Amino acid sequence: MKSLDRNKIKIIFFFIIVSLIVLKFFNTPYNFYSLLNWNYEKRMELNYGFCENESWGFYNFASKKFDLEKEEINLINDQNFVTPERLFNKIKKNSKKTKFLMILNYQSRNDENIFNGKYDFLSNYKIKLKYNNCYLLELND
Amino acid sequence: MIEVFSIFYQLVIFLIIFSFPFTPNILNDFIGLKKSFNIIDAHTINIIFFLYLSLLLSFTGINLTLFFKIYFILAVVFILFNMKKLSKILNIENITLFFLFLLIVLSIFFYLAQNLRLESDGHFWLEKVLIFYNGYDIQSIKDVPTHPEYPHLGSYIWAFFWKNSILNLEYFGRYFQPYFYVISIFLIINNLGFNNNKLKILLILFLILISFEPYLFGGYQEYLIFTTIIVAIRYVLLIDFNNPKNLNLISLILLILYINCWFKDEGVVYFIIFGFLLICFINRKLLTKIYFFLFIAILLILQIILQKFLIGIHGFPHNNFIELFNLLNNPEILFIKILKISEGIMISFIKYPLWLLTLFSLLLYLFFIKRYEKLFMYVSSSLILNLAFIFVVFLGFSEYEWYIRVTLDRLLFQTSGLYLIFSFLLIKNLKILQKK
Repeated sequence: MKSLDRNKIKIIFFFIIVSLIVLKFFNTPYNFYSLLNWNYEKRMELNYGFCENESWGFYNFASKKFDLEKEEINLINDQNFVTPERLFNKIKKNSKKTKFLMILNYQSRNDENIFNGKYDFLSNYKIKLKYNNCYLLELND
Repeated sequence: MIEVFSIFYQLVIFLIIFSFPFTPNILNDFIGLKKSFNIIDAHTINIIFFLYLSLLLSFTGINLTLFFKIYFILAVVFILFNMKKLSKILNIENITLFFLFLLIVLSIFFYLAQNLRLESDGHFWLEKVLIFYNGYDIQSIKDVPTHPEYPHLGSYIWAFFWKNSILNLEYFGRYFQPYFYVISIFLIINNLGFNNNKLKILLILFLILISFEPYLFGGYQEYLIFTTIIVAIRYVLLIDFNNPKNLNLISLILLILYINCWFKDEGVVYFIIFGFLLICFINRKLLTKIYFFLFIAILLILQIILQKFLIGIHGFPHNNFIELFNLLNNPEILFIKILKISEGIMISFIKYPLWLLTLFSLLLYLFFIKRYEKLFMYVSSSLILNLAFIFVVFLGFSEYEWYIRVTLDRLLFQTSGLYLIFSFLLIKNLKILQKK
C-alpha cells in the first residue's frame, strides 16, 4: 500500500513538473494575465500598432469616429506594411479615386506637407483626421 | 473574461465535433487491422473526414452556421450513443495524456490570443477567408487580388471556425491549426510502441519543443501540410513494405496525402512525390500498382476539374519554365544560383531543429545501422525528390535571392515531418531501447 502511494506521489510530482515546463515554454501565465488585463482591441493595437507598422489602431479609431464601416477606403501604407482593411472584413480594392483615402506611416522629408509630397493625386483631397504620420483624407465635394 | 471563456468553449467544440463519426472499433473493422487504431487515431481520422466534408461543402455554398449546427448536433448524438465505449477507453494512462493534451492546446490557444498578429501572407490568405466568412459564392475566389488560383480549403476551415466562435473574432478561426498539430504529435508517438507513459510524455514534449514555430500560426498554411504529413507517416509506419496485405491502409494514406493538394499549390507536388514513391516501394503486383497510380491520377484530375469549372480558376503561379531553359544557356548563373539555393537550404536546416534531428538520425543510421530496408529507401527517395523540387522551383525564379530569404525555410518546414521516419527507424534499430 505504501509503495502504491509512493508511486502515485511520483506520478503526480512528474506531472506537476511536466505541466510547469509546458506553462513556462508557452509563457501561458503571462498570456492568461494579458488576456484578462487587455481587451481584444487593445491587444490588436499592441500587435499592429496605432500609427506604426500596419496602423490597425488608427484605422479602427477613424473608422469608428466617422462611421466608415461601409465606406470604400483606399489605403496606402508608406512603409510598405500590409494594409489592415482585411482585418475589418473588407477586401482590398485597387481603385485610386475613392471618397476616403488613408495614408498610414507617411514618410516625409523635413516635415514637408503631405500635399507637397510624393503623392500628386492628393490635390483633390482634404485632411479629415491626422495623428502623427497617419492621415484620413476625404475627397473634396 | 469572456474571451477566456470562449477559448475554453472552442476547445470543447473541437473535442466534440472531432469525436464523430469514427470510433477506434469502427476504424479497426473498416480498415481491417486488429486493434491498431486507438482513440487518438479515431480523433485524427475524424479530422481528416471533416476536412473532406468541408471541401465538398465549400463548393455548395452552404451556410457555415447551418453546417456547424448540423455537424455539432450529429456529433453530440453520436457521443451520447457511444458513451459506454468511449468511457471504457479512459484509463489512468489515457487520462494523464489527455490532460497533457488539454494543457498544451490551451497554452497555444492563449499564446495566439495574446500574439494574434497575422503575418504578411496571412493577410493574403485572409482574402479567401472573407469570401467564405461573408457567404459569397465560391466563384468569387477568382476575384481576390492575391493569388486567386491557390487552393481554398485552409481558408474555408479558418472561416468556418471564425464564423462559429462565440465572439466572432478572427483568430478563433486559426485555432484549428494548433489543435490538429498537437493531436498529430500525440498520434505519432504511438508508433514507437513505448509502454512507459513517462517516456511517451517526454517524447511528446521534445517533439513539440523542436517543431513549435509560433510565427507560422500567423495565417500561414504550412502547419496544415506539416501536420497532415505527420498523420500520413503514422500509417506509413504500419505498412509492411515487403508484404503489404492491407490495401485499405495504403488508400487511407493516399487520401490523407491528397488533402494537401487543397491547402497549397505545392501540396500537389508532395502528393505526387510521396504517393507515387509509396506505391513504387510496396511489394505488390504491377497491376495493383497501376490501379493505385490511376487512383492518384484521378484525384489530381478531379482537383483540376473542380477548380477550373466550379471556381473558374486553376494554375500554378510560380511555374517559370522559360527562366529554367534560359539558365541552361548560362551555366555561370546556373552555378551561382545552385550555390545560393544550397546555402539557403543549409540555413533553413539550422533554423528548424526538427531538420537537425532528422539529419543527425540519418547520419547515425548510415554509419551504424546500415540496414537499407524499403521504408528507409522510400523516405530517402522522398527526401531527394523533395530537395530536387526545391532546386527546380528556385532556379526558375528571377528574384531568387528574395524567395530564398523569405520562402525556402517554410517550404522545408512543411515536409520535415516525413523525415521523422529516420529517427523512428533509428530508435527501432537501437538494441538497447528494444530491450526496454
